Amino acid sequence: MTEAQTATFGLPGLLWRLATRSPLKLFAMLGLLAIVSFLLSGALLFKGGVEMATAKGMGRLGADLMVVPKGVDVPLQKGLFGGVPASFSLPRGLEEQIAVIPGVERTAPQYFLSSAQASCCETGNLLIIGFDDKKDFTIIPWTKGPAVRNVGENGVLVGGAVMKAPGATLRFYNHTFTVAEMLEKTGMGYFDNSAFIPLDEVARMEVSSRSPGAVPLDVPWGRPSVVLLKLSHSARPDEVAAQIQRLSPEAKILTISELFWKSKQRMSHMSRLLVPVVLTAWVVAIAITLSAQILYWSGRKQNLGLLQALGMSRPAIAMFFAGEALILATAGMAAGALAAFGSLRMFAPYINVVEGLPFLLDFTVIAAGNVHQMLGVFMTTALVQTLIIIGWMLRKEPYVLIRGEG
Amino acid sequence: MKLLLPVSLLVTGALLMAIPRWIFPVCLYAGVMDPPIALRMHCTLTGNITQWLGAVTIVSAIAYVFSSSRGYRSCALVTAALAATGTLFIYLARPGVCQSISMPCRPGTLPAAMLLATVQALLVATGLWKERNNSAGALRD
Repeated sequence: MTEAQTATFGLPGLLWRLATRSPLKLFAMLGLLAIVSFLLSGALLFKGGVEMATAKGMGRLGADLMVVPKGVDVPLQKGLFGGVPASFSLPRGLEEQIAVIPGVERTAPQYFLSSAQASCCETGNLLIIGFDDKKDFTIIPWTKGPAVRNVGENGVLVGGAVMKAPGATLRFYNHTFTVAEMLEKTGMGYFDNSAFIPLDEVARMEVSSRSPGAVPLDVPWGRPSVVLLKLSHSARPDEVAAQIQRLSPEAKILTISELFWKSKQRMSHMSRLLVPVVLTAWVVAIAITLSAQILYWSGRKQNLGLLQALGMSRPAIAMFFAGEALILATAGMAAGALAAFGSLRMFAPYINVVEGLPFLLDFTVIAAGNVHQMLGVFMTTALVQTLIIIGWMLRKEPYVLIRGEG
Repeated sequence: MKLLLPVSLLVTGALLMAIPRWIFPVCLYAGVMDPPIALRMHCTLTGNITQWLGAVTIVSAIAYVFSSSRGYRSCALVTAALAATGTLFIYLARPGVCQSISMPCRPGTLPAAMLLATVQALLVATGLWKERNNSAGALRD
């Protein structure tokens, strides 16, 4: 900037200089608005993320019923929502008995296994799911194309959160696998954090694990961990469930909505809490921003007086200062919402694995969670507050304002 | 207000020291792996380096408070910036953390350390900008 440019400036230059004269106050105001926006949009994004992942996960499972052993609710929930390794087995021969029940169209057995502790490949404690690729209707339909539907020899499908690209190798139980495809993220640990291996390959891995020096793997063949069922259109899920229950009292039959019942219940608890929390946060936010704005604009009294003394009309002054408030509110709100989005996205695996909640956050959640509407209302509130404060201050004479009185 | 930046840096440094061991522990300290295996894991090394980088941040914050000249204060801030960059590097590049999401270092330690390093980098950038403005003002005077 040349000397001539800095020496002269018009009205916009004057307004810019007045606004940026005290950067610390400006940043403090921005920071406060960002914190309020962070808390409000964080709550809405969290709720939207859980709802989206629940809907996506329910759609992806594609089964009408799931048969699991009785008394495994906790490890099952952790395995399905967190992708935490779980190990349990159904009674022997149950799958074959279920397959012949009238109304059962397809059965898909799955074996939940855990990778061994290992420091070399850093894939220890990974949920390995052995699935029958000829009967499967839960995983294969979500692969990208027919070319990769045949997982192939030594092939493995990995979830969207497993840090292995297609073509990379994974070593489990002394057997090396090649990643055939990475599945799209769903926000559900079962799909995102697991390695899906066809049963033929699981058998090969079991043989490899028996080599000297390797950690042995014992697959409970004939006793899968879960059996997913697809029913014919005419079949009634409750009737089929009753028949399975008669076959094996040790089994528990869940519909997919029952499976998500616990997370839905937690969400409904949270939703009930969310309304008073958001309302309280709203009232507190209005009070805080009002106090902050009074302090902020009180420090600018002299500017108001000066502009009035220079001949600027009161509506024009109000308009310019409202513009400044709008820019401040937009920047603060956007920064807070982005920070909430980024933080929640970073902690999404924590919510999945440790909290055991399905959670997926992408930009569609912003619209689905009504975050933009909340930010719009909050910006309008900040703008109205500014106009009230400025209007009240402009009632004073310019000389009173320049002196900093009133 | 002058102490706001060094106190914030002290807090981020202390948190960087505490996160890999107590707040969001890496696999060794979370006790999910046998110590002989856990000691050889990448996340253990990353956690240990994070603690050292936290200590460097604390030393920088103390140096910032007791430095009389702008040059020394800027040096202290640059050191804290390097610690923040280093933290991001060790988690995103090498040594990194476990690839399995069910290991405690991946869903917990990784995002917490990265978030904190980002906040620290922003704090340092603000401090450096303030120092630059102050020195420009002094030159004008």
